[in-house]
Amino acid sequence: MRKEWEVLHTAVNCEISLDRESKILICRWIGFQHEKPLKDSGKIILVLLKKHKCCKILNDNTDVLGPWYHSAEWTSTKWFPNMIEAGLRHFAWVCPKDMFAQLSAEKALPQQRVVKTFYFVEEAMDWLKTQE
Amino acid sequence: MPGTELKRLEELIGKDIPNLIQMDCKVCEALLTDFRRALKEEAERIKLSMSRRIASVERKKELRKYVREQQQNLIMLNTYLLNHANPEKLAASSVVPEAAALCHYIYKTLDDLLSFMERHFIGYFDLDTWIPTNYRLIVIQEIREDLETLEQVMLSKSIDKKLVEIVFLAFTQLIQSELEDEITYRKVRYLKKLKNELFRIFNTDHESSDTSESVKQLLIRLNFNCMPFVNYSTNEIKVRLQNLETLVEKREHLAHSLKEINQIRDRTGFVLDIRLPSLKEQVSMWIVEELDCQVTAQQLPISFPETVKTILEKIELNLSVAQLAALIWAGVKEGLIKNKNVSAVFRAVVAMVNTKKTDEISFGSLKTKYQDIEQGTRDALIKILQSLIDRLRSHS
Repeated sequence: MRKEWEVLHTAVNCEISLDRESKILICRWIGFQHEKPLKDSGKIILVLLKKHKCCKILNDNTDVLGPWYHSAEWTSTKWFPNMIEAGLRHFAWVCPKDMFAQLSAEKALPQQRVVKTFYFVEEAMDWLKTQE
Repeated sequence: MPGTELKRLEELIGKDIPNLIQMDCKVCEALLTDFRRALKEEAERIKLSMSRRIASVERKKELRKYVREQQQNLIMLNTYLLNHANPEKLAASSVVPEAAALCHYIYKTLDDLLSFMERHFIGYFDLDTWIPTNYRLIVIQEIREDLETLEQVMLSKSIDKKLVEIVFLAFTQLIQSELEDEITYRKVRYLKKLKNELFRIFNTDHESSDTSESVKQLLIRLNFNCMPFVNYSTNEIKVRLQNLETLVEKREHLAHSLKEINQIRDRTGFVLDIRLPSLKEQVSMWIVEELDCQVTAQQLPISFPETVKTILEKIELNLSVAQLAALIWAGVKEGLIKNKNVSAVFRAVVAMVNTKKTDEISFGSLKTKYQDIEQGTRDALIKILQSLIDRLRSHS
């Protein structure tokens, strides 16, 4: 985590920070994702997005392990539309190294064109900063 | 350790799968389907990457080194899978959604990659490398898995039991060699190919087709060069040979068999036992020896042993060979001579009869005259027979 990022929320499965300068919300997911903690963290992200009036999210899945098919459809059809309605415009998704987590992420992509995938956090951050 | 091309697979086997098993994650059907697709994509990526790498290598020595390293890496990755699933699960033909099923699909992918390497870079691929014990356990299980079904299908197709036994001998030898260090990649590849091809025959052969013959042709094509099958093949020729009467027919049959075996296109590189000569070579050699033997036999005059000669004396006929042949023809056509095989009659006549011009009638000339009776011969024979009828009539 970078110095300029302010930690807003910490859970076992997810850490949410804010880059105040660029107003980018940084969500770093960690380890295995069980259904309830995942959805809870998702809901907190939605609240924080509204609260800080962000439209950009860096969704870092680098360290996610294992499949999370249990919540893939919910993410795609419920969470993303709510997020978009709340003001989300650009979602930089850093792919997990774990193949099962990667397959789950592919399943969770929304129909709306707000997501762009990356392999490295720096790349994703750079892209977000160039977006309006 | 695997090179960069196989890094993703190595991570999958070394990290992702153990993590998933440790956390006791649920493996659903959707995950299995997506996983298979992802593996397929990864395999295609690896194939492309390997091909590009190989195309960029100029020296043959380096190329061989690279191909063999990848071959070893793929085999080693197979053995790592045994840390997460037993051979039964890895080789299972039916898959249930669980972590072991993921390993099963990885095993299939690694197998596909090995086949790809072997097909495209056969000149650099080491077929005679010994396979590690762990890999052998998976392969044995894979073969064992299908063996029972294969045997049932073979027997239901009314395939010669002896042939089934011979085919199974190759498989059981591998299964029983679990503790020996003699199993090479060549052997494994051969038996897998044989098994798959047998299933292909049984799945495509129609009820009316001769499945035994299809299996035999397959064994010849795959150079199934063990002694039992060489004996089986030569024995089949021998049995047909015994049913033929004349040397000419026998020679024709042998020549035809030689042509047949030499015209079958074998699959390059496939051989059951590399230490033995090819099946074609062994059977051809047997046929050539048999042909030589037949030729020698034909050159020798057909005669009885001296002891028999002193007892039997040849009948001396006042007929030409052509007239004798015409007489046999009439006898056969009229049903007077009941032998089914005319050649046998010729042999007996040749051995027991002299004509007015020759002491030794040749089998060939008798046969030729029999097949082409001239008008003059027929008239002359009728005249002789008429005088015989007249003689009989005058008998009181």
